[in-house]
Amino acid sequence: MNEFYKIPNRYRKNDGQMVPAYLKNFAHFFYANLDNPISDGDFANWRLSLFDLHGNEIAQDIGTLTQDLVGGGNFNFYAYFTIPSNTVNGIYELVIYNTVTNDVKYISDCVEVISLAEVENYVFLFYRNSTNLFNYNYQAISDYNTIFLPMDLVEQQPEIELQQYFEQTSGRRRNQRVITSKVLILESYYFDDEANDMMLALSAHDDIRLNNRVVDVKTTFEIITNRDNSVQRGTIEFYDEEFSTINLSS
Amino acid sequence: MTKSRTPSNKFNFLRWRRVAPNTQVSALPVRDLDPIDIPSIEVAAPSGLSAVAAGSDQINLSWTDNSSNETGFQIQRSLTAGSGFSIIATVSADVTAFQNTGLTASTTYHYRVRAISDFNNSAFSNEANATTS
Repeated sequence: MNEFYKIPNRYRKNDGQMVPAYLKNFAHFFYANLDNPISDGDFANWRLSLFDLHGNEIAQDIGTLTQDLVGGGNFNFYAYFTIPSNTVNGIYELVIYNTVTNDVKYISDCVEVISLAEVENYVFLFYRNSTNLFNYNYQAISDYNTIFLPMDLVEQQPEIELQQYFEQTSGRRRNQRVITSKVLILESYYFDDEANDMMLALSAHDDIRLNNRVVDVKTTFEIITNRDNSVQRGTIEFYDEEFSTINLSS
Repeated sequence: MTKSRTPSNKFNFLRWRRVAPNTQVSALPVRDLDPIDIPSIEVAAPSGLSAVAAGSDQINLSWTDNSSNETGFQIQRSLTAGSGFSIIATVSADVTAFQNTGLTASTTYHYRVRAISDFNNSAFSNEANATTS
């Protein structure tokens, strides 16, 4: 994605549960880091399709599934996929099934299909890690996960580190180095426990871009609403590395 | 179809659930957004629905908006009290009136309204009826 989208900072009127979103006509990537990698022998016949919540196949063969052998004859799987541009915006599920037997193998949790007009309401998250994490074979798979998340930029704060020295000739304090950083504070919308865990796990990743901006986690995800609810809002803080500068005073 | 409530993968925004063997793709059930994930966010039902005839082919509706998180209101109509309702219109959030035109003269119409949102719909309002002149 070459376009740069502004990180949204509007509060939504209609709070709802977080559902990961995918932009139509855009090359997305996912890796299924299974808790227990599988050894199904019919992988060659697997198909990735988009279904509505009434069990109707909306778009067939939206991406090519690939095996990632992880040892012992077991594998995870991953795919580049594209939601067709003529898909109506809404809530769907991704389904993997065997095209010969029609047996369903995997169903995703609900996902939202959005168009460019809605992109500004989401944060585009593009991330990976340099080492393997959570059964995700990052070292063998060089691709980035791509997903749009309902999060808002709620605050931007400067961070200034001033190093000073005392100049004997003038008797004045002088700035030796000023390191400025911009901290982006993002708030999530009603993530469930698993999405909250993923936000914590995201902190472990070392290659993250938000709306094509390179960022590093400053403060890990923290739930800010009632933990007794089934879904909660939370905040996470990033350093905007493309803003950060080092100014050396003369 | 049985669906595991626990995803087969963790720490991933896109979660996959293994499906029971021999589940046919043609037998995928109607699915709610996700029964275990639906947020406990209520949408308050509209109240005070009234219907007033405005001639031989029009009835004017008005109601009270009791919710702050609706995306709109769905208006339903029936020729029978208490049953047979069908959707005739959806209006935007915060709208509290609707003019139903193109009606048949000397006919009694029954109405009800509910607030809708992305994930929840409210209960229905009271029913109201009016008879065109």
